[in-house]
Amino acid sequence: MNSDSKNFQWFDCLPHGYCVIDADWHFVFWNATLERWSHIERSQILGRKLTEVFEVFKQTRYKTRITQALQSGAPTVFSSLIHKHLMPFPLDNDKHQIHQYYVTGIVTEAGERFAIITVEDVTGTTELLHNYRNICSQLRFEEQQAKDLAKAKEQFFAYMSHEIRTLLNGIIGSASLLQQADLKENDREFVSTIVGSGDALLKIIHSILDYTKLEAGALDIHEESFDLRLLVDEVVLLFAENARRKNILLSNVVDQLIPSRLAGDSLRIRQVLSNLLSNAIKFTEKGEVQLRVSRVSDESGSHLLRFDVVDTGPGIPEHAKVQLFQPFKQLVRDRATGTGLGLAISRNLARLMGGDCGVESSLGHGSVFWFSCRVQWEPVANYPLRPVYDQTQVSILTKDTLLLTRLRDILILRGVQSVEWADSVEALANMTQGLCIITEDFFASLSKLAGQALLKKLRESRTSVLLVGMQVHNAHESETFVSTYQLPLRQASFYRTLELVTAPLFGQTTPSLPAPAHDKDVQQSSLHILVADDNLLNQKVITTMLKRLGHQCDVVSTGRAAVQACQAYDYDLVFMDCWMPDLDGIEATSRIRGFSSVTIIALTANATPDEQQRCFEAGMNDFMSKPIKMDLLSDIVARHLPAKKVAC
Amino acid sequence: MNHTIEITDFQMDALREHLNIGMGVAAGTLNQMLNTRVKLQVPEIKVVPVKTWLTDNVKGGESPMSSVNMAFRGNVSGSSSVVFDQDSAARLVKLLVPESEISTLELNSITEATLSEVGNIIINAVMGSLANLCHFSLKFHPPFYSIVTLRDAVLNQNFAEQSEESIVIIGDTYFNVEQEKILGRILIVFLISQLKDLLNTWSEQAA
Repeated sequence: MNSDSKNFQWFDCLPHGYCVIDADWHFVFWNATLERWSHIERSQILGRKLTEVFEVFKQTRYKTRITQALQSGAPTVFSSLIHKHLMPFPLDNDKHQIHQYYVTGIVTEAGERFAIITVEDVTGTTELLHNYRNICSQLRFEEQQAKDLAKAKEQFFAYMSHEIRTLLNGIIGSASLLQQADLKENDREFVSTIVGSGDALLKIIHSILDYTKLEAGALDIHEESFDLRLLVDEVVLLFAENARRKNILLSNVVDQLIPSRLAGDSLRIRQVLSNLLSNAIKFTEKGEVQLRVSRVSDESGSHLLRFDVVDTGPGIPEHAKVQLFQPFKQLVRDRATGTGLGLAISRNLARLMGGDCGVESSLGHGSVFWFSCRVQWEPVANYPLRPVYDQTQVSILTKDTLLLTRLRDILILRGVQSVEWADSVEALANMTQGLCIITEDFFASLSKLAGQALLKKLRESRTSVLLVGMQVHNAHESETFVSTYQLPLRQASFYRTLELVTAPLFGQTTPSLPAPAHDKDVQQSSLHILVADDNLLNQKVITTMLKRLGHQCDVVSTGRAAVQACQAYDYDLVFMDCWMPDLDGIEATSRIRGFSSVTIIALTANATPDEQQRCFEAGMNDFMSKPIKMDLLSDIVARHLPAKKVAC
Repeated sequence: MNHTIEITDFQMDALREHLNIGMGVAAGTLNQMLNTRVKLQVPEIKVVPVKTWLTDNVKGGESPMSSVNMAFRGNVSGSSSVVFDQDSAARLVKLLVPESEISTLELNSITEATLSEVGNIIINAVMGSLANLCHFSLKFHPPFYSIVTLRDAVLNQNFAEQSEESIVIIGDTYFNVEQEKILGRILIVFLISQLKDLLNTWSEQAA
């Protein structure tokens, strides 16, 4: 150690690295901390040039600034982010310390110039900040993702709510009007199904909008009495058209040991079943989709039911199954027409009902989507277990082996033995009197003459005929001894049809329809009402209903036209759709309020409290949520009857 | 003590010129250091007594700024600061050191050190340029990074006791980096009497 070195020995007491170079850049001091960090002993480095030991300092950018520091004494910073390893001291993990350097020039009393290089180890701080930054980035990313997702969901729900309600208004409104027309029994059943399904769908939409509640565990299960077999039939019937279009056999079968009257949340069961059936039909190109209901276990007064939706679709690879029940995931994008919420909702609902939801599937062997739920047995009206057709011989003429299997299964459950024929001549020669089920494909395979001959012979032998198929409705209505049953094969419905067909067939009449429910309302004073709605179907529904209630309607399609109409006429009432092009209902109402106090009733498919608030703030008098029901419409009109009209 | 000062157009031009010479040196150093094309300009300067500036900016200058300050002593005493608003500071570090991946909210001790280095280079160059020209000898304190309001940057604590008699040279400083222009400010606070000596030196040299 030379004399210069002794002058700087107190740097050994400091925790940072310190070294000193003279005006020629030779090391005159190297403190203990630097010895420890660099593994270079002081004796090895003193007297050597900075640029010789650490070649990076040969670069002009360092030469210039260190020279300046030596000459002027101005402190000079070399920050870690830019320089990092000017003096590369190794760490145990094959990395190097990260440094920050300060170079300060000093002049001794003797006029000698030195530069003190302070080496600050910021490795720990840098890594800490790096990790902290990564965590912050990740948190920000996740927070943003969560916000984006929440926003997307909110927008999606609002949009879906509006769109679906608008369409449902058309469906339910039209079907409600159709219900009041004179219809044949079969047609009435279909219309009732439309109305019933529409109502159920509406309720489900409300539930979907509450998806966030479900996720938060804030959705309740409402137990009520329901008819399981009727429910299953209705759900299956919902998908009749979809199945027909794809020529898929759709059927259901319920274990005979399960009573019909149960207590449980029928709405949620219907919701889950609809979802599973919809998926099954969507992804099945040929074959069948069958809904089976069985009982899994009994425990503490409740019963666990299992619903299996069995399809002959392509099946699902093992790795894809885990994604199925995640929200917003859809396996096959090109057919992804749904929300991607269905299975996630189904599983949550099933678990809320004390069960679960899952899938059993393998590629090429179809899938079984199942869900289970707890229900209570109702004490009365158990399903009859005894066979009711045990004395009846049923012949089945069909070429469709799949349908034959399902028919045979469904008949045997009620104790009905069947004999199958694939040839009409053979069948006629051998079948006994009773019921003959002919499938659509079999009948279609016959020539016209052969078909007529077959029917003639069956009539002569006083055999009842039930024609079963996807499009047999009214096909043979001239033949009064021929009944039809339109697929899907719904167990309860099929049994009812069998009961009818096996009863004496001739002389039955269609039951008369009840009188329209709102005839009394037609007695209301006739009002002059303006309807502002951009949807043609909605216009038609509400004006038909209003006219049926005895009122006179004008119709406009935009908010601007509504304002103009109110300027031109003194209406008794205005029904104002909130979402319209050009000028929406809110703005139109504000403008109308500038010159008229006419009663304005909001019509909206977006039935949120916020929307109601907006309507009232704009000056509307009342609020009516779509879909529009006749009775509700009548009530709201009565409630806002102008005084002069009431006085009449 | 006379707390006012009159500066001729010539002196103002000279001051601006010397600041820009220093900035040129600083830009050269930054270019070398970062292998990035950096251009520094001080197009306009103001020379205002600190007292006047504080009166004129009672309500202004309260936003937090990133400040690198170096006090100096010698023939003239005072302090010099380079200040940026927080967003500009973050953008500047990001432009100068792209791998730093910082955002405005992430100024930290590491990135602050980077700003300290940038401020250090500028102050050393500018003050070195002024000192060389005037043959002054200055001793600097190490650079000190802080987040302060512009008022506090002007009313520097190291110099507070003399602020009544001080004058501030404020120069808007444009950093042109990679097509992007970032605005900072350089503040140099002197005693008024010392600035008068400095200006007289230039006048004498010019004469």
